[in-house]
Amino acid sequence: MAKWVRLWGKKRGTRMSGWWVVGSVSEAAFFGALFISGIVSLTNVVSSQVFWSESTFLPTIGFGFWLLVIAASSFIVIGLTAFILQVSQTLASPEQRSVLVDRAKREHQRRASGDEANNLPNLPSLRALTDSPGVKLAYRLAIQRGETTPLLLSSLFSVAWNAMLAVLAVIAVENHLRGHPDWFLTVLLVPFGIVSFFSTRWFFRTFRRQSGIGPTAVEISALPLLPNQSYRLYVCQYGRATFAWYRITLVCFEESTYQQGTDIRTERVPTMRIPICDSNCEEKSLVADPENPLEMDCQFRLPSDMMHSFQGRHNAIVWKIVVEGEVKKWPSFCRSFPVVVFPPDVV
Amino acid sequence: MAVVLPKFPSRRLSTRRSIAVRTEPAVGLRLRSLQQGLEPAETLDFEYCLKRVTPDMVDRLEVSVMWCTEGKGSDDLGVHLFESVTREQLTERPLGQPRRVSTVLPAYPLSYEGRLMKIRWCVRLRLYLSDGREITAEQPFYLGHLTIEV
Repeated sequence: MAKWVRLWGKKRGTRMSGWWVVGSVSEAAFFGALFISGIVSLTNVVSSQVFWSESTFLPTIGFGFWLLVIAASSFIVIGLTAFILQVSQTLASPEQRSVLVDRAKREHQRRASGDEANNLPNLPSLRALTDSPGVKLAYRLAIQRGETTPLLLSSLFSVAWNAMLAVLAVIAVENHLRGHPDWFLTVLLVPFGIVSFFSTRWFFRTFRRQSGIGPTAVEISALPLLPNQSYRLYVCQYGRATFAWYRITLVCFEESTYQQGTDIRTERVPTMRIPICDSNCEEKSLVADPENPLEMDCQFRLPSDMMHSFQGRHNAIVWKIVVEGEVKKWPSFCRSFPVVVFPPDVV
Repeated sequence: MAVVLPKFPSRRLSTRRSIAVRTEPAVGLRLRSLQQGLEPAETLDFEYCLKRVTPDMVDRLEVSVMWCTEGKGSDDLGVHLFESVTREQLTERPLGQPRRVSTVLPAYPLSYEGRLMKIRWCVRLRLYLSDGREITAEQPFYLGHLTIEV
């Protein structure tokens, strides 16, 4: 009986003290009440405007009316969705829910494409990797998405901040010229100027890192990769640069997404490295110029005991070909090209 | 020479609790293969039985062969085999008698133990009793031999 009257539960490792039924019923009751209150308030708002409006022919529907409709509708949507979710979680086990979701997904895919034979759940899709043929080898790999994000962010921030600083500076100077100096604004320009200096420096550093070294083209002989098989890799480095060292590696990353408070975070760690090519300037000349790009033709064999790629909702195992190098008088660079490793018995 | 004494629990179960443990319903589950490591496309053979249960106490039983992730990220789950056994199906034979289930294992995901995450395969039984209680039994096994010594 004590578990019924306990108001607060304690977290004991992965489970909570108290009876889970009390929590589930309370949660379902809360969202059910939210849904009903949404329906009642929406009905009230709409009917009061339509049937009891003071206007002669058409009701006056303004901004406030639509705000109330949106608020009431959000109550209905949130309440109904959470109520159904809570009831399904209470009535069905996680395994049964997973089976139902998988079945619905398969059915949806079958209806959408008319074929489910090519669908391999929990393995990354090959379509994005094999749609670009290479010049020397079968496929040209696409660079990891998001590598240009810092450049884009720094340019946007720098432009916006400098524009704001310029406007404020003009206003401050104008006030001084008129003989009504605004000293608060004038002093405020100093920290704003410091931020402007550092943001501009950040932009130029990122730009230099991205554009100083020419593009990298990576081609591979076959996809997907399979354990215990040999592959050829062709890397072409464009631009004008003299490298101190140039390294190509196949790296396995684990990615985990988790909730921390109200934030959703993703952590990524490298777990395995398979060297493909490691050159330094003492062994051979590592020079790229616009007429003669640096070309590397490598062959590598994958080990038999490597983990395959995996794509879950919250966890993933990702393989990437990572090209790293250090150019004299430039910051070192690192570019990655995702690939997919299949388990041996799938293909 | 050090004298090492066995560690006994500091508290004994009370008589009432030990009787309750002996009389509470339970699920017995065991793999029929001798080793816990199985290869993809191999047949997983296991058996289960219900102990200290009368037919009117049982509502239904769920049998799953599944994988789940453990670690820093939120858990993912995939079900390879799922069977929901009703009371009528269960009571066709005596409940204490072992029931065999076999399934051909898929090619992936292979069992894995990494730094941030683990992929763990197991057979899981959930017995739902008529009074609303739920009893779970789990038997882990390895698919593939990436992270265990062969």
